[in-house]
Amino acid sequence: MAQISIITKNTRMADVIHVNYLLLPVINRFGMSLGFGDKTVEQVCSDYNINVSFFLDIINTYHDSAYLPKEKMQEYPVKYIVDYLKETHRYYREKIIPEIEQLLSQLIKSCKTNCDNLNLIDQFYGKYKEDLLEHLANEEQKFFPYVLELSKKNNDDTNISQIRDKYNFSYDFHSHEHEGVLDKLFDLKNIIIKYLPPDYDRDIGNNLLSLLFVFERDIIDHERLEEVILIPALRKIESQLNQ
Amino acid sequence: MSKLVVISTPSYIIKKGLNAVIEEIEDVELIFLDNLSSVNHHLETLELKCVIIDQTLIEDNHERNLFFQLKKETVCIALTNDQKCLPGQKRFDYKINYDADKEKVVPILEQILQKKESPDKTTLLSERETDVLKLVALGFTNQQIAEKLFISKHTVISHRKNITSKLGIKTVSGLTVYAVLNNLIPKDQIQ
Repeated sequence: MAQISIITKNTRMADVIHVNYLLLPVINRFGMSLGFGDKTVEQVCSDYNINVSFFLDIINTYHDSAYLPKEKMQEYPVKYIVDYLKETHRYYREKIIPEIEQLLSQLIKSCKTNCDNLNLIDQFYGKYKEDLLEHLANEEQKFFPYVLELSKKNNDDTNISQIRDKYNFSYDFHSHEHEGVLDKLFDLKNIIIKYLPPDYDRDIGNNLLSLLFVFERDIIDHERLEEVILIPALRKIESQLNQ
Repeated sequence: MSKLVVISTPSYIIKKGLNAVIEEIEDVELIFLDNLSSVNHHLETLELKCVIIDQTLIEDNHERNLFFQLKKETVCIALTNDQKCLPGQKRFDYKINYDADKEKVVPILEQILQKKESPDKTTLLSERETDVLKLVALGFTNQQIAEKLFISKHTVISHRKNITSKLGIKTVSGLTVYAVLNNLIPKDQIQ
């Protein structure tokens, strides 16, 4: 299989998965399922009624950490991005978090002696989860509504700071929260790697750790998506409204 | 990070000369002593326990005794004028001849000065770092920790940076878990 650095509308969808199977959950979030046959990205997108340049921006951002969307390509509504991000949140809440918890509770059950360390790790996870859920809720209640309301305005009597205040949104707070969520996840992984008590079930431990690695990767990409696609789009809207 | 090297010789020319040579290699502070009588006192405060000693100095009985009392961990470099067997031959870790050229002198000094340049990331925390870690884990702020340990807030922050880089744990709650797992603080003391 040839290396694909950038996925284009003419790339076959099956090849996309061969090159990077971690993109599968991302593709699923667009409502797409396996069984692509030999269809290209463009054909699959049109089957599912998805804007192809939007799909390519998202998929390439995940696939290549150096990818930056070209400005002219950002000609889809910001609502698409917000909807996608909301879908990602749903995936974290309904899929990843329950899976982590299931593995963690299996792991605790598998421990026979000296399980204090595991209980501490469980407590640490509990705190992490609180932070994560709070961050997701903040995005849904402050950031996304702010973006959506702004994107609907088209006249110049809009008072941006008024809308910002209404949703209590600030860029600084937003990026600060991201950092905290990532740091805690990193620590959780590191504590598991370094301090798991010796008599746990190794398969369960490995599954949990792999899941945390995948999750971390997804959150990093999710954050980049906001940074390189949504926030530039938002700034553009803000500057147009200010003119 | 600056560290200090003790140079022990009565000779003004040698002191100045060594100062110039070492300055070219690395920015380290030097302490100059005329003899070894106060050497232990100085060594205690040093990050790099290294003494450069003029070998003629320890021909004197008193100085020789002090020399042999230096702790094993102290790196000793002899400044010597010759091939003839001088006292303390075996105790010296390195030897620099007065007439050695640059190619011989510089590599020896480089090896010693740069050996311990960066803090070893695999070693455990220092006592002070452990003190700071305990207080962080118990939920104290940098300001409170500074007051409790009688150090500046700036020092607390620099200790915390080192702790994070040594342990690979970034958040306060992660450090708390580390502290409990390693029995640094009792489990019932965390919120």
